[in-house]
Formats: sequence, structure tokens, C-alpha cells
Amino acid sequence: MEPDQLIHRYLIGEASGDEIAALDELLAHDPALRRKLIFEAGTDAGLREIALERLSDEGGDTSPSNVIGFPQMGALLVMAAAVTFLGVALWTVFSKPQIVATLVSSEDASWESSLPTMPGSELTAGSLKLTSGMATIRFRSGAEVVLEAPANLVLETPMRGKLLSGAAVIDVPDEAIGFVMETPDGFAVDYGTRFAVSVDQEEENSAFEVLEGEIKVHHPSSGQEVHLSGRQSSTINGAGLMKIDGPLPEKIIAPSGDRMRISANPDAFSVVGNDETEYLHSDFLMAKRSRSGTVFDRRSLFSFDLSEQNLESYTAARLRLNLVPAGIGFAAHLPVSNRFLVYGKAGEPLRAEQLKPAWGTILKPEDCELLGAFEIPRSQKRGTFGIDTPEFVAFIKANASNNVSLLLIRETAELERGGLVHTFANDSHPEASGPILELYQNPNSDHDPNK
Amino acid sequence: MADSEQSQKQLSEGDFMRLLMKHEPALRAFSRSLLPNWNLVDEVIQESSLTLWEKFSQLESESGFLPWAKVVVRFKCLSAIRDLGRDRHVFSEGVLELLADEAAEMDAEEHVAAMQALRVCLAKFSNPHQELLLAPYSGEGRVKDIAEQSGKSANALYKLLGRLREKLSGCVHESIAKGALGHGA
Repeated sequence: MEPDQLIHRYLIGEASGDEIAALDELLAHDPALRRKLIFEAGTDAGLREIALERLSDEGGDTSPSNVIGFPQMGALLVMAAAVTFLGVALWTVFSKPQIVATLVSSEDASWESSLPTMPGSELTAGSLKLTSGMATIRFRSGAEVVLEAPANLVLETPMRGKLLSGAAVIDVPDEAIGFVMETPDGFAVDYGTRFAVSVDQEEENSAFEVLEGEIKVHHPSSGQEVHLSGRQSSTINGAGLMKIDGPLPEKIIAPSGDRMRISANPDAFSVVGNDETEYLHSDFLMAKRSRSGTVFDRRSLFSFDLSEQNLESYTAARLRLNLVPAGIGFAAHLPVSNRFLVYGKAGEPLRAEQLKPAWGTILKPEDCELLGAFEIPRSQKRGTFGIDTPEFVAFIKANASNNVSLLLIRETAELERGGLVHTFANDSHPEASGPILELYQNPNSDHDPNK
Repeated sequence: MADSEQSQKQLSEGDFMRLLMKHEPALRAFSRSLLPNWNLVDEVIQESSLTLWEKFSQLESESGFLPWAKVVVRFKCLSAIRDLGRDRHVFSEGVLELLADEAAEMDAEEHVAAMQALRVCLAKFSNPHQELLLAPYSGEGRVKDIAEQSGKSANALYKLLGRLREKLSGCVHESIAKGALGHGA
């Protein structure tokens, strides 16, 4: 093939490895051909610019922010960045997602993530939620982030990440100087160093601590910024930015004076459609919906005794259920996400005459009030789930000084027979606690079930 | 560098923005001569912009911006290629160094002139040919879509595209040569 045509094939991405090797060989010995390549690369850049202009004239999405993040280093730079990345943004819409980072290693890590989580995986922009263990992620720029669970990290670009919750230690080599680590409260620009960042969602603050080198921490809403070096640290929250001349003080767990936890009464139980008790186990509260029929369906009932409690001062409530694995059925036979419904009714779950709970005789959804719903991805086998809806709060408040029964069912049916039975810890479970009702005096205090 | 004494302390954030916008097409073209695809170019330009911003205070004069920026971009390009490891779709290190040296010599005016000439030349092509010339940048699989619509094989269309590109660059060359007079201003 003509060398000229090789260059064109290379630039439009159609050249094979052999063709590129041949071109490389020619380029090594032919200065004129190198000039040709440089010239054609310029033409290629120009053609692309024109193509992107025409696409944007046709009404393509030209908003850079929803495609790719860019640094917020002052309004002027943002404008510059917007222009600079306009082309990138447009192009990103039409091309394959780019690799932002690599998952280097993990220790006992478990994830909730749409991104691959095998060590060695290449990661595109997206969110990584580490539910347990530790993981090391190397951004393409060279910046290395050691993430500690529970944490939620968003990979934005090779030079930018956002820690939504949790803690991380970030190592930034020279070539990644300028790496930006954002948090919900502010962001730090790195000047070649190691620093630690932690985000406390509950307290709505972030903390940065330089372990070595220098960083600059910005608080965008106030425009404040501070240079940190040595072992200096800084905390940021809604109010502003505070510089600390030394490492961060150790975190103190706030006393839970405004929170009350009530355990479920010990008579929590599950029922199965065929009423064969070998399909049940006292350690677990089960929920399952079959594809058809109810023979293998499971539901659970549990109750809370509110009669001894003074609930007047509490304004928020949350039901916590701890999902634990029991290994019954295949998660692959379920849809990706599964919805659970919690119904409520005042009074005891079992009347005295029902000594043996049976599918046909226990509370039915139609006898109850629907209080809320939650979703569990089929991939998830552990975690805390529950509801804190206004309906639930109103229901609890209305039934203070009473017994309340809650019925848990899975609304989502399995796709094939033999699907996973969701199992939540009952009181007797050796690892996790049974259902818990949490009441809060201050509606703004933390309801995060993962806490 | 004649203005360096005067402007040394006067370069502001606003100057940075203006200079980056002005020279970005040239930096993109420069990166393209070293990198195997546009995704990498975008990444490198993005990273470089940040580094340039961080180190902007080191810049002594406006006229020094492009050569200075090319040094940074060159470094980022070569390091991006190193990250790719043993990829058969990249040139060898020796060739890359030669290309980087030679491409660094192109100055800002040359880039602008080539871009202007390109627009004039592209307009001389028929609409379907313009569409084909722009297809590789108009979304993945665009060339193949055009092939399907026109009932030709993708292979035949890529060959046609190669010939059209060669014709286009001939026109650009020619008009730059004449342009010293024509587009003088």
C-alpha cells in the first residue's frame, strides 16, 4: 500500500497492527513522510473540529458538564475548560467510554458497582461503592487512591475523582500533579503528595490531611481556599473551611441521645405457601415471590411493642432489616433489582387462637396499610434495608402505646423457578440483629441504615 | 521573547484562558501526530490543561505559550503511550521522539493558515463527499452506515475516503503555498 494511504488508514483508525508496524518502519527513515504525517494529523484535527461543529449545529448535546467533569478552579478557568472540553464532550457522546482508572488490587473487598470489580479491571467513568474491605484504584494519570470501606467513589476523569462517602488515602506522583479529589463539600487540588480525605455524610463535612507534600483545598460555595503542607489538615462543611495546624483530631462518635432503638418482639416468623415448616428457619425472616402460584412463596411478620414507650418527642422513624445470606435459590433467576413492600397493622401479629402460623390465616396485605417499599439488587447478599417513609412515621406515631405488626413481602417475582429466597436476620441469627425500629427526635439527624 | 520583561508579572487568569483557547487546536493537532486515537488525545489535552494552569506562573511571555504548552503536552503524550504498554497500534519510541521534535517546530500561524485552507478546500467537495470526509468523527460506525445506505461495501468506502483525504490535503498544501499572498492578513 502507498505510504500516503497508510497514513490515512492509521489516522481514521482502520490500520492493522501490521500496517502500523510497516508505517513505523517507513517513518523511521523518511523525514518527508514524517512531515506528511504531521501535516495529515493537523488536517485530521481540523476535520474533526469541523465535524463536531456541524454536529453541534444539528442540535447535539453540547453541555460538557453532563458528559465529563472539569475542574472548578475559578470562574475564568471554568469558562476556559468549558470551551476546551466542548469538543471532548461532544466526542464522548459518540464514542466509546474512555478508561479512567484501573482497579489495582483489593483486600476482602465487596462492591456494589456497575463497573467491573476484578483486580486488574479497567474502569470507565462511573461510581464504585465499596461495601467492605479495601481497594486500590490507579487513575490513568498515575494518581493512586486507597479506598477504605464503606466508601463511595466516583471516577470522573483520569485527573479527577469524587469521594461521596468514606475515607481514602491518595498518592499523587509528579506526572499527576493537578489531580483533583472532590467531596460533597469542596475539593482538593494536589501538588504532588500523599494526602488523606474522609467524608462524613452524617455530619456533612469533609476532612483533608496532608501526609506528605502540599495540597490546596477549596470551598466553592464561599470561595475560600487554603494551602496545606506538612501534616496540616483542614475540615470543610456548609459553614466554610477550617485549617488545622496538625493532623486531624480523632473522630468522636456522637452520643445517640436523640435516637431510640426498639427491637422486634421475639415472636417474629415467616410463613411459606405450602405451610411445610422445613422450608422455614427460625434464624431467618424470609421473602420470596414465585413466578406463578404461591406454594414456595415466603412472607414474614414481626411486631414492635410501643406500649411502654413515650414517642411524643420523636419525629422520624425507620425500620431496619439486616439482609443475611442463607443460600436458598439462585439470584440469577431474579430480575436485577427486587422490590419489597412493608405493610402495617395495629395489634398483635398472631391472635391467641393461631398457635401455628399458616399462610392462609396470617395477616394479608389487603388487611393492612402499605407503609413503604425498598429495593435490593439481586447481587447483594448482605446489608441493611428498610423504610422511613412519612406513611411509616405517621403509622408509628398513630399507634404509640400499642402493638404494631409489620408484614414483609417481596413484590418482585422470580424470572425462573428456584430463584433466591431473600433472608433477613431474625433475633436468633448469630451474626446480625433482627428487625429494629429506630426513632429520632430530630428529623435531620442521620437515618442512614448503613451507619 | 522581546516582551518578556514587560509582561512577566502581567499574565493573569484571563490571559491563560485566552491563550489556551487560542492554541488548543494546535495542541490537539500536535497530540494527534503522536497518539493513536482521539480518545487519548482528549485525555491528554484535558490533563495538560490542568498542568498548564498549575504551572502558568512559570510562563514568562505570551509568545512563549505554545512552545511551552507543547513541552507539557509532549510529556503527557509520551507518558500516555507508555501506559498503553506493548500496544501494536502505536509507533515505536524512536519514531515518536522524531515526530515530537518535528511537530514541535510548527508555529501558531502555520496551524491557523492550515485550518483556514482546510475549510476552503472542504467546501469544494460535493455534499456526499464532505459527509464521508467528516464521517470518522461523526460517531462510531458512521462510515459503515453510509456504506449501507449507499449500497457499497465498507471497504470500498474506506478506500474512497483515503483518496478523498489525499485530494483534500493536496488542496490544503496548494492553498497554503499560495496563501502567503492570498490570506496574508
